[in-house]
Formats: sequence, C-alpha cells, structure tokens
Amino acid sequence: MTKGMKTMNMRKRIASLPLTLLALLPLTYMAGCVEGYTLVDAKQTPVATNAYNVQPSTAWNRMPKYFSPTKFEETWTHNGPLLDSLAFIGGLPEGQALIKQTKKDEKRAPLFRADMTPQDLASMVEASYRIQGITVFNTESVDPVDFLGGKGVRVRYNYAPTDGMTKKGSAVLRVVDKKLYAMKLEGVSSHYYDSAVSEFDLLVSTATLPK
Amino acid sequence: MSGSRRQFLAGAGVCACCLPAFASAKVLDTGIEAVIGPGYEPIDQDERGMWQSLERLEEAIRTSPKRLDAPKFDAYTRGVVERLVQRPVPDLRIYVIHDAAFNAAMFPNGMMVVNTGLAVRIRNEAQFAAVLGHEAGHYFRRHQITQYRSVRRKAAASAFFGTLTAIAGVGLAGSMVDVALLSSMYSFSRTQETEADAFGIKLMARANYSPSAASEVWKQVIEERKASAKLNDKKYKDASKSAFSTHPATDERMVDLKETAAKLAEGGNFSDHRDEWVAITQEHMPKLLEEQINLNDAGASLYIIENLAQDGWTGLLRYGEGEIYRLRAGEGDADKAAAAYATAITLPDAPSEAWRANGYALLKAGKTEEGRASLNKYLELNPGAKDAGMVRYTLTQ
Repeated sequence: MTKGMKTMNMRKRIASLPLTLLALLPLTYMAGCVEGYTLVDAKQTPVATNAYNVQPSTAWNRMPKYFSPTKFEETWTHNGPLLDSLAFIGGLPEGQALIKQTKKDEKRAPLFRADMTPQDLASMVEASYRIQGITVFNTESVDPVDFLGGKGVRVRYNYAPTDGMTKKGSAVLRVVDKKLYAMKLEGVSSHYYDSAVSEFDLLVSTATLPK
Repeated sequence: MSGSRRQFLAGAGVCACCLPAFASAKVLDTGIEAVIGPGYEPIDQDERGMWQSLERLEEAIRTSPKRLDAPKFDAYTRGVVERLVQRPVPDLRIYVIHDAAFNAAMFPNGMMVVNTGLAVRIRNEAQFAAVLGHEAGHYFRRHQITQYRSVRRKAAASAFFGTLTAIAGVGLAGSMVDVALLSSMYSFSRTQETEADAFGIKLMARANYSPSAASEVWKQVIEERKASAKLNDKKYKDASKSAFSTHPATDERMVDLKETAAKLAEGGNFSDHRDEWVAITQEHMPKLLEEQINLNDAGASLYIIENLAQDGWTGLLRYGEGEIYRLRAGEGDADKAAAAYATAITLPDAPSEAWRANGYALLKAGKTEEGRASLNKYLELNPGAKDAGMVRYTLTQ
C-alpha cells in the first residue's frame, strides 16, 4: 500500500466517523434506559417502594424492576434468579393478584382480599404457581410467624419448575391495614435455598414498618 | 422438560384432545387390523433414528420430578391395554405425568405417557380404555413413522418460516406459524386420527367395554370447554376447526364415534367397569383434583366435579366444589363454598381438609363456636397435618 493510499483510507475513516457515531447514538441512549442490577449493602434498607425496612446481614443484588410481576414487588438475588431469589411485596391492595394477568387468561390468579384466612393465603401462593404452569407443587408446612410487629403466616413448599431443578420456597404473608405484606425466598433445592434460608429468617424477624 | 420436548409431547398427545373436519356423521371403518406384532423392532434407518430420539425423551421423562410414582396405576393401565389388544404387551412402559391438561400418548418404542389431567376427568375404565385404545391405534397402525417422515420433509419449511418471521419481526404472526407447523410436525394427520378412533372403538367392543364411552369422552371435552368459556365470558371455539388443524373437529368426532358405537353395540354385553377405575384411582384423586382446582379455571373445574358426581356425590367431590368457590371468591361464592363444605362433612368419605375449610368458613361467617369445633375436628382427624401449627394458632385467637 502506498503512502497516498494510506492517507486516503485514513481520510475515509475520519469522514465516516460522524456517521458511525450517529449510528451508535441510539444504542448508547437505549443502554442508558436499560435498568441494571444494583448492590444492596448489609445495612437497614427500605424495600418495595419504602413499604417496610429490612436489615440484611450480607450484601445482595437488587434485580431490575422488570423482573417483578407487580409494582408492589422488589426482588433481590445472591446468585442470579435461576438459582435463588428473594422477593418483597409491600402494600398490595385488595383486588390485586401476586402475578400479572391478562383479561383473556382462563386460569385466574386469586385476588388478594383483606379478610383472607391463613388457609386462603396459602392457597393464593399455590395457585399463583400452578397458574403459571407449575404442575408439581407441594406444601410442606403452614405455620404462624412474627412479621412486621404481628403474627403472619409462613408457607414452606417445594415445586418443580417448568425447566430446571426442583426448588424450595418459603413465603411469609401478613395483612396490615387491609394490605398484603409478604416476603418470599426461593432457591434450587440442592444448596441454594438452604444456604439462604437463615438470612431469610433474619430478614423476616427484623423487618419493620416505617414509623 | 425442555421446550422442544414439551412441544413434542403436546403435539403427540393432541390426539387425545383434538379434532378432523367432515360434514356429517358416519360409521367408522372398524375392519382395520394391527400391522405390528409383539416385540416389534425398528426396521429401517428412519425408524431407528426416531427410536433413538425417543430414548432420550424417555430418559428425561423417567427421571422427571413431574412423574407420578404410581406402580399400581401403571400395572392397571397395562392391564387395560392388554385387555384391549387381547395379548400381553411386554414392551409397554407407562409413565404418569403431573399435568392438568387432558392428554395421553403412546410412542412407537412402547413408551406411554398419561397425564394426571386425563385421569381426573375420567369416570370409568371404559372411558379410560377409549383413550388408550385410540392411542394403541396410532401404535399398532405405525402412524408415527409415517408422520416422522413427514416431519423431516417439513423441517425445511420450518427454517423458511423462521427466517421469514424473524425478518418481518412480527412476533405474534411468527408464533402462529410455529404452532401450526409444530402441530403438523408432531401430531397425526386427520386420516390417522380417524383411523385410530376406528381401531380403538373396535378394540373396546371386542373387550366388552361399552363402545359408547368413546363418544362420552369427547362430549365431556366439549362441554368442559364450553363451561370454561361461558364463565370467562368467552365464546366457545373449537380450535381443531381451523385450517391449520390436523385433527377432526371434536363435535364431529364425537358424533362419528357415537354412530359407530351404536352399530358395534348391537347384541353385545358391555360394561363400563367403574368399580375397578374408582378402586385404583381413589388414592390419587385428592391430589389430582387439587392440581385442577388450583388452576382457578372455575368453569372447567366445576364441570369436571359435576361430571364425576353423576355417579354420586362424595365427600371429596363436595369438598372440591367448595374449594373451587373459595378460590374464585366472586360474589356469593363464600356462601356457596360454605354450603359445599357443610355438606361434605356429612358424607362418610370427606377428607379431613373439609373440616378445616368448614371451620374457617364458619369463623368468617361469625359462627365462632361451630368454626372452632370444626377446626378441632380437623386436628383430631389429622394431628400431623402440614398446617396443624397454623390451625392451632387460629384456635388460640
């Protein structure tokens, strides 16, 4: 290649630079819009749009909002949502479901009602899974639990996801001022659930409503 | 289970819940015979390839957490198939899968998959035999290999449509093409479905199963879909009547089977063997009903319960009815649920959960003493219940 050709090529490259930048601009803009994971430090933290506070003992990753089925839910993870996830539901009003639905769905997600009994709350958890295609769901126990300054319901369960390994889960639910407050841990049965459950217990027992 | 496997199962199983499009009722040709015998092995390269693919699928099913471990039911199912074909079927391997959809499929390597959603909708052994006989029709008439060759021809079409829709970026249209292709790739042709119907009903009559059970099954399928659509304010639509469908329309299929059954039943002595069916399924029914009811498709679930109750209401069915209303929780449903629970506990076979549900319903209605008594009865009947801790706490309040 002669020196003249090299110069010409360089000029062409420089001339095309604005076009390249212009082409990349929308991508940069879009990347700015895409919400990413954020770090949650091991300190008192408000969750679910400041619905209540929790006190994690280790750092977590707050997942982007699009992972949450409703605006009342916030989700964290240690190792990625396929392995473990920790959801906080704060102030779900009456008439709302735990999962997203369209009017066309024949299988209807149960709607939260303030007068739900412990039996109803446990059914709402199970139905929310089954409606989403989970065909193997086993309730292991339903017990009372202290949560947000009063007595709530704790449901322990396991289920077979549509893809992947069997998972275990714990959901804690309590109705406060006619709204639902809940926490839910789920993780792959082998290792991931068991390694996170003591932290879950701690978060449940130390969760407080804002003063 | 992976997507492709699911699609394959869904497609293959569609024969148990799908549909051909012929104008008027006809008596099916029941003169057809099996074309394979015991110990059949694949002959050519195509068939060997298909069997190898099925081995991988079977291994996944065998080890799936979705499998219902029910050796007695497996043995019973084998017995029904053997009664139908009137010889031992040593190559048959049965897998019951937790899936609330009405479905079953028999594969050419001898693997048979039965969904729990099929078992929960069936009233007697004759209805079960109708579905198994139909599936046996596909197996003994070697429909799969014909269809497999058709699949391979269509693979090129699939790539074409995939590229086309990706370029167009039309997600919905893209999935419609995929579904249509998949159903034609992994299910049987209309002719094959009709042939399997004819083969199955012939086996039923020969084994002295009421041949009318085949049309009853389809009647139930149609009525359940209509009931579901009605409660969801939708119009019932038979998807098999679409231009893409490879199956006979459900209503036409029902009529053809009814006509054929009438002819086969002349002078016969038939039975539906309900007692045998109830004896083998009763230990599983609470779980099977729970799987269906917790889908909260009240129209379908109420139809299923009421259909089963044609043979007599039981405590389990009344409890199930209450659970449907409790979960739906629409206007007036709390009262309907309470009434169903109250009836359930008067029946001898009511599950202990009926007492719990009755107790909570009474507490909600302000009948504290009666409610507490019912919850105490629940704990007395089932002291180790999974929710005993919560119920005991309720009683302290």
